[in-house]
Amino acid sequence: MEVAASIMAIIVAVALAAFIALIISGTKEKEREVTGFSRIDRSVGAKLELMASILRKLLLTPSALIIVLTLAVALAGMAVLSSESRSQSAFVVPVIKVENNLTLIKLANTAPVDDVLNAIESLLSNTTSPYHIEGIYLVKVVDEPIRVEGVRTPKLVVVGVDNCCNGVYLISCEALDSPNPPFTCVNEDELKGYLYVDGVLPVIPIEAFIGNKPVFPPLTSVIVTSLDDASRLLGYEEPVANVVLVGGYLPPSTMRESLGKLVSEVWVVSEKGALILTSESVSSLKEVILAVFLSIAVAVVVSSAARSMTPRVGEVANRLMISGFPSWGGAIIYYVVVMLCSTIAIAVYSGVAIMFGLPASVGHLILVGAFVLTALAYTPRTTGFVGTGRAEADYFSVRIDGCVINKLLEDVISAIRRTEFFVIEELTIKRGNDKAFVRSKSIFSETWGIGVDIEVLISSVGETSCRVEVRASDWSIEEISASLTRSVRSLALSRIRSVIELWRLGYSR
Amino acid sequence: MPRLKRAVIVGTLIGAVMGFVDTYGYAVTGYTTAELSLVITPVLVMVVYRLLMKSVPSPSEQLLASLVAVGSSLSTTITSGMYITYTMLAAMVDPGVIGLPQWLYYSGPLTPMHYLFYIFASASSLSGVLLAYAFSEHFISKERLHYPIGVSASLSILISRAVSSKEVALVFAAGLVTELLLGVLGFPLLDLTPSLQGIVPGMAFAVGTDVLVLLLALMLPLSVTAGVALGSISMFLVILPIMAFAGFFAAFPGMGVYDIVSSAAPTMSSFIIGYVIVITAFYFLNYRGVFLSSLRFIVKTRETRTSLLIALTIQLLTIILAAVIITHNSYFPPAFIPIVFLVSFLLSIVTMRMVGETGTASQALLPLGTATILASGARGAMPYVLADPYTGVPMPQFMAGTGMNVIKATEKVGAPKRLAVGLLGLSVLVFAPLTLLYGHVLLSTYGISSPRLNLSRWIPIVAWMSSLYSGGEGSIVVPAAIVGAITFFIVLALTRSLKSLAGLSAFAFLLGTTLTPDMGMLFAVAALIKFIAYRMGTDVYEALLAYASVALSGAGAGIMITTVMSALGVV
Repeated sequence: MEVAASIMAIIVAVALAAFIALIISGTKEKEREVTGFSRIDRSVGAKLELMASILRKLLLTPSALIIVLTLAVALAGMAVLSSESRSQSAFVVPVIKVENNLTLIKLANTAPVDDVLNAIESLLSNTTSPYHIEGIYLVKVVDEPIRVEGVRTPKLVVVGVDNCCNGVYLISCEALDSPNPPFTCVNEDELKGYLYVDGVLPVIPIEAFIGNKPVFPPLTSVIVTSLDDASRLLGYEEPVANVVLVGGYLPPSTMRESLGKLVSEVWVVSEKGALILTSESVSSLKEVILAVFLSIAVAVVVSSAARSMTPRVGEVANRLMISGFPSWGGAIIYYVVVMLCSTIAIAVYSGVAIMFGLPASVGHLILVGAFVLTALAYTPRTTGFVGTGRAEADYFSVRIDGCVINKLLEDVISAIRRTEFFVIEELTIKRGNDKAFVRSKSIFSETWGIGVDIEVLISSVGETSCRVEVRASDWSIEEISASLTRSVRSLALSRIRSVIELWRLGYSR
Repeated sequence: MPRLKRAVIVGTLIGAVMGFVDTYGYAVTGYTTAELSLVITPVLVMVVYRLLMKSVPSPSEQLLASLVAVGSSLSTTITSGMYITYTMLAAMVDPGVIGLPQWLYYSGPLTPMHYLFYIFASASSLSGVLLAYAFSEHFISKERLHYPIGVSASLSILISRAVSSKEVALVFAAGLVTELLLGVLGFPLLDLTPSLQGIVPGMAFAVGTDVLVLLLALMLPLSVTAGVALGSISMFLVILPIMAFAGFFAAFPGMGVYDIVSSAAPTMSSFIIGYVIVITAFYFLNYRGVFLSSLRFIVKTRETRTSLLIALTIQLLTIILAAVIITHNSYFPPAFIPIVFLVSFLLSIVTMRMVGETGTASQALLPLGTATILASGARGAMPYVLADPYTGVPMPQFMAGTGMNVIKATEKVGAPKRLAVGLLGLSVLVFAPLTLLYGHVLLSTYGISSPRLNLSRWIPIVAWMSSLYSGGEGSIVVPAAIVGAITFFIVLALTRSLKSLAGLSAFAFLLGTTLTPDMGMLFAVAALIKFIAYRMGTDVYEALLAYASVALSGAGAGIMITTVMSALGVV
């Protein structure tokens, strides 16, 4: 361990030295001034206001109102219909099997022991098969762990068993440091005897599954005691219970009927395995079919309403283009209207659902999905013309006959400087006898995060000719689509290209 | 220099508070904002400068002060965070059985060994920052990666300078109030998973309201946001049902989204391992030329060479320690040291790459580290504690990703790079004992029985870790790993053949597969908002980014206030 501690100390020292060295050398570095950020375009607010006013107008049309109402009513209808068509769930765990038939009934709520027994008697009164009550339990996973002096691990699960324990609390010996009455230490096998009927049927709850293995709370965090003591420990005034073990075969069909307000879960266990019936209602095929039919009805109404909005949307898109929106800006009007309509409808339904306790189900998901797809299917993809001009390449080289390097250089610099589309951040100019070089870094003036770097190298070829090499690279602070940055790059290059073309044609000599 | 001193003083003051807030947040709820502290802190720094110093710092000074505070926040993930995690583990399983030494968890007063180990773990994690420093030119200049959290931090710095303007204050307040309301009222979650199990077992779908996640998603590039959403939705609507059908995990009626996540944990981890192996191989094959030239450049330059050497030496020594420290029931075969070291290094590189695209790698890549140790035949907790970045303490990959975001932010605001990296590293080391102490004080005050930190929530994690430490039977599902590898090729084929998916990042898809569907839906909503904003014009799009970063700072401040209110017993 000393060796390990020494290695750890050496690593700490090395890291400390490395970072201190970086700080010392870093203090000699210079700060770079950043520019350009102050220009968040003020027209953004105006653009959003314009958009909001257009949306207000579109949303207050009868068509939009019909769309919202259709979806909200369909959602509410789906909730009512699905609550009648949902089924209780059942699944089989083949690994849990016992020789004698057993049924473990888990109650929805904890109740006094006598009430529990009476309820079970009346529940099973119509059963023709013979049965007997084998055990009554109180099983609770506590919200706040119970800490006991002298016990290492906090206790999460309290299990009360009838006819057990003679006034002591049983804890795993793995968790108890020293005897601490009334807490008594037992080995884990003995503890398991109380928690697993016949060694396989768990009375304690399954906390989760990892893969296919059920995960139970560790035995070190369980307290087993009598029903009376467990009830007292959990703050009940009288003995209570919430799990009943019944011996004998009880038909699953009968037990399924018992699920509801009183019983939350039933395990019917035989030599074939365990059939677990829960009161958890799940979506049935009937519900899905209902959702599909409702979706078709909604689709018919929504598509008609959406079609009737088309002329108005087209008109709005034209106005947007005149107001300076991008050509495809108009196309998103439909998306926004659809999104807002569905949001309003879902909000209205959610309010109604909370008031009347309506459930959310898979049907709702199908319905909303169908609504969005139908509405988007009627969205005009383009309401404007998008240019398809060829973008400038990022590198080109041109030979110019009859070239005067210095004059050409001045024209190039002038072309870079005199532009209303870009703000120059850096401009580097180098002149030699037979060579000249210009490098510029510009930001597109409509934004603060898109820019173009241009390098122009002019070198003489022979006596009177020269070669101009132009290299451009676009960049953006965020990922703006390549098509857009390409067009910005083309815009920047077009100025240089025009100067070069004029020289080639001899107009600038 | 006087400005540096001022930055260090302000950063230390904020760091001392943030370290406590993050530790408390983790101790009582299991959540921390440490990963986003780089975006949140600059606004706090500006407020403190204005209130205490009556001045406005330069962007560079503001960043340096923020980095000092961020160091404290980051150290909580290594010190108090892991101290609390191991205390939970020791509470749920017998530490002796899994060979968990006492100096890892709370069992009485802190000993010198506690301090030494957690400071060492911080130093070892910082090797990731040195790697980031060495490779920063490669990833930022050559691969031209965006590092969205770094960009977001720089936006936060630049916008907070106009904090007095009404618009910015309003957006900050909106983020803060929304987060406060959600924090006090709880985060509503509409979970359709229980009903779905009756129709398609293994399928999960939920809609959540985590505003912090939504704002983070807005900050990421559109293709990444959409990729994350697609990854999450594909995982929970398609891939998991297929694997449930194949019988890889149990999916029963009534199971909620978190039950499914827990049940599918080994399957999902295995899927990720398959995906990560292929994407890592693919990345290195594709970038081998650029990468080798960068490596040559790093080796030629004295400064980067030294950083690289120190980082690699620290990582190697840490893994050697896993074989040296033998506790009861712990064993790590020395022959596997080079393999684990190589995987750790590769994971650091790929994490830096992934963070460049997605902002955060979360823990998406790390199960590969766990699988390597498992494959070595290691037993007991110690090999994992020291050499596994997923369940262990040293986290060089996490630090490497954060380091790259820091360097990106440094470049954006024009701050001195070496100074920034040095301050960050020193701050993590200096704050490590303090944040460990915070964790200890909170554990000795509240124990592990906070009503908000239900211990039973830890049972599945502990069961998985315990199974891992005992040899890991059933921890890795090989067919699921094969499905993961195939999925990568499907994603690759789709992005290359479909024009609409051309910009989709395979790393973003991977990150998405690790996020629950409620988060996936938030990413989908964010992608839609970004899509619309982009079509309204790049100016609107950029304004959305700028305001989202301010709102994110507000939401982060909201979490801090909720945490303090919780500590005072108000909520």
